[in-house]
Amino acid sequence: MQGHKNAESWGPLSSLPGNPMIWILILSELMVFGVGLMGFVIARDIDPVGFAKSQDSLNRLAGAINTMVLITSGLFAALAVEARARDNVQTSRWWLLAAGSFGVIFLIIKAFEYRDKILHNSAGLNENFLTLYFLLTGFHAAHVVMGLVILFIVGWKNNLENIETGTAFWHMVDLIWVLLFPVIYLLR
Amino acid sequence: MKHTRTNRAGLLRTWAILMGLSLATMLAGRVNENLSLAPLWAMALLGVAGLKARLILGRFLGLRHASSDWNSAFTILLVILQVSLLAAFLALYLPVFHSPTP
Amino acid sequence: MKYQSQKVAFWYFGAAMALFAIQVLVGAIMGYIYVAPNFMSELIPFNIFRMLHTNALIVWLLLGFFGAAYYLIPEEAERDIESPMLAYGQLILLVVGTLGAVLTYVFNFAEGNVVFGQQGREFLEQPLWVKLGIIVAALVFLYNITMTVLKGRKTAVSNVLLLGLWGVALFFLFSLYNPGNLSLDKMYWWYVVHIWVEGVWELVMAAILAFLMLKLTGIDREIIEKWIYAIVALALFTGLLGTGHHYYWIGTPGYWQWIGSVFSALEIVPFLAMVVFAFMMVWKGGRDHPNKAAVLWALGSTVLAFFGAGVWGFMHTLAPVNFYSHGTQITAAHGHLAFFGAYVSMNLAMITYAMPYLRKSEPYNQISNMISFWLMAGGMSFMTITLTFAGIIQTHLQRVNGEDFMSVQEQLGVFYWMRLGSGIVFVIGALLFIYATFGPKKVRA
Repeated sequence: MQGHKNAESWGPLSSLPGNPMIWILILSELMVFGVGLMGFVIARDIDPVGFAKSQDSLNRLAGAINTMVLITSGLFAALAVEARARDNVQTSRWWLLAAGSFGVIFLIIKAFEYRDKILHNSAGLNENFLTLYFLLTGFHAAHVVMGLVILFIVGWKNNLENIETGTAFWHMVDLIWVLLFPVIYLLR
Repeated sequence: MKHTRTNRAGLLRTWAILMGLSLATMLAGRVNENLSLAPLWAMALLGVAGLKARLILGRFLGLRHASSDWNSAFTILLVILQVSLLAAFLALYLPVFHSPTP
Repeated sequence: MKYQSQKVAFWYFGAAMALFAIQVLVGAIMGYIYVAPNFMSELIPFNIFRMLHTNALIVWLLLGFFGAAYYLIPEEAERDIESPMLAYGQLILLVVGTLGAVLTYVFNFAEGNVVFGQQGREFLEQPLWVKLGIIVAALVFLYNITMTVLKGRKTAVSNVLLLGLWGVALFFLFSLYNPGNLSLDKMYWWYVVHIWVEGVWELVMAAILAFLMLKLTGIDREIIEKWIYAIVALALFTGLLGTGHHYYWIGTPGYWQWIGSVFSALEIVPFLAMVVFAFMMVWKGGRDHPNKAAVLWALGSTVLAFFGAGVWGFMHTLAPVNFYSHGTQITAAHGHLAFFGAYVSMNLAMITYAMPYLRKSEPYNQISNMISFWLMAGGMSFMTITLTFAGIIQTHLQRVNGEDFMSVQEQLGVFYWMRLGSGIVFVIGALLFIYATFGPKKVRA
């Protein structure tokens, strides 16, 4: 994406911040998770009692804490961009490290949740619920892992556009969780 | 593409609002109780979630620096998503489902 | 034609069109067998005809893609093909392999032989020596094209085309892998043609479309490149996991029903993007290119692909719907319009564009070419609608009411007659197309 002429040739996508391809990804991910969540709520309509029981087996508080972990991590990522925009490369790297660390905390909490679910209390739960719970949160967690790799890369190849694009991916992961958590854990 | 202009105070304010809204989500969703939500609470829950998503898009992802068409497009997308989820959830109250209490 | 070695494409297109003719004639015979089931049954069983119809389709589309690559890569890379001799050798290898496969299917002279006998896996029946020949041909092709690109100008069009064609070769390797577990066998089986048509072939299609838009309209390369990057991203994002809609009922875990449904429901998006792309380019850049027929085919291809692959695919892709509809005439309706719209039409668009240059003639017989478009598009659309109605009725009678297969088939007779009629119209269109592009030419003044 070099030069100005090139930057304008994205048409309507040109006015979006960061690399336009990341916005195509954001839209695609929103659609995938949107359709997945619709599937979840509709599957719930078929067996509301089983779903309510299954949802009650989740650790809602852990999910809520994870929301805050990701939002805070998102703040750090945004601060990294802000630092880099002021040509403060080292500071931006520290903020990226902070954002990534909170991503790791998210994954650790998630791992405890999964461990609990797999070892102790998945018996007698609605099968659609279990499938969708693991698929949607697992797919999201895979994005967190991917995001960590991306944060590492943009911290290393440190320029403003890279950091903007990489943190945009990170915010997207954040965004998806904010939509995912209430539907899977709380809506009942 | 273009680069965003951000400032630290604005980002911190966004973060504080998002944390507050997360508490609101916990309240609306009764995070510590195993009871079912009344339709109004469900509406509040999904509404707050949509608002949070919109804030992340606008402030953290810098969408507010893009054209107003894009801003409306994402708002509409989120509204459609949250309203559809709510409608699918409230469908349980329709008489076709035999057990009216979700 | 700017480079002498582009001439290779002529022979590829010629071989492709010969197979196209065979494919549609066999199709018409099968259409007749549907209404008169004993026709030729003593001579060649129906399943052999079906093998010919589907295998010929795949092989000629690949020949068309190879030809398209040999035509457009020199213009994109701004240099001659690395080795035209290898390209001709590759074609001979493919033709010999194809003839070998056809003879093996029809005469079945080496039943049970590991190397020469037909292999039992449906649609992957090619004898082992043919499969290995195809792989050698693919390696020759990839070497030839990759070297041409590496030593020349690198463009988004050739990058995407290369990515697609490497993917084609890579996924074909799964045709050699046949695990003992029947579910896994089926899963890898789908990797071959279905990850092609839902993934890597879309890249080839997008690259050819982009090349045609570059040549047929006055739009800047930069804008076209952005579009194809976006289309490629969408195609891979939706298609690779969307192929999961084939794993619903083959013994895989239940989560595939969710993964397949969600991602394949979005597979319509890249096809929609291609429609918007093609029409915007022609609308905005409307340079009056003399080859009107090529523009018609390119635009028509995106629209028919959108309906055939996108809309008709979505119709039965969600697992709860597919539970009832899979394997009925709805699948046949979707398969016909999707293949014709996306890959047949894009190949014919490329051939329509390239032939006048390859033969050093004016774009000639434009009217008959365009009539052939409407005959084929019309015939195929009518066939699709006919089969869709047949499929809906079949689904109800067979899957909901539980009537047995053959008594349902008898009740569908009227639809099969209409399908035969539309098929004959299509055959006429196909033959007219071949006449219009390969027939008498007008020499450039």
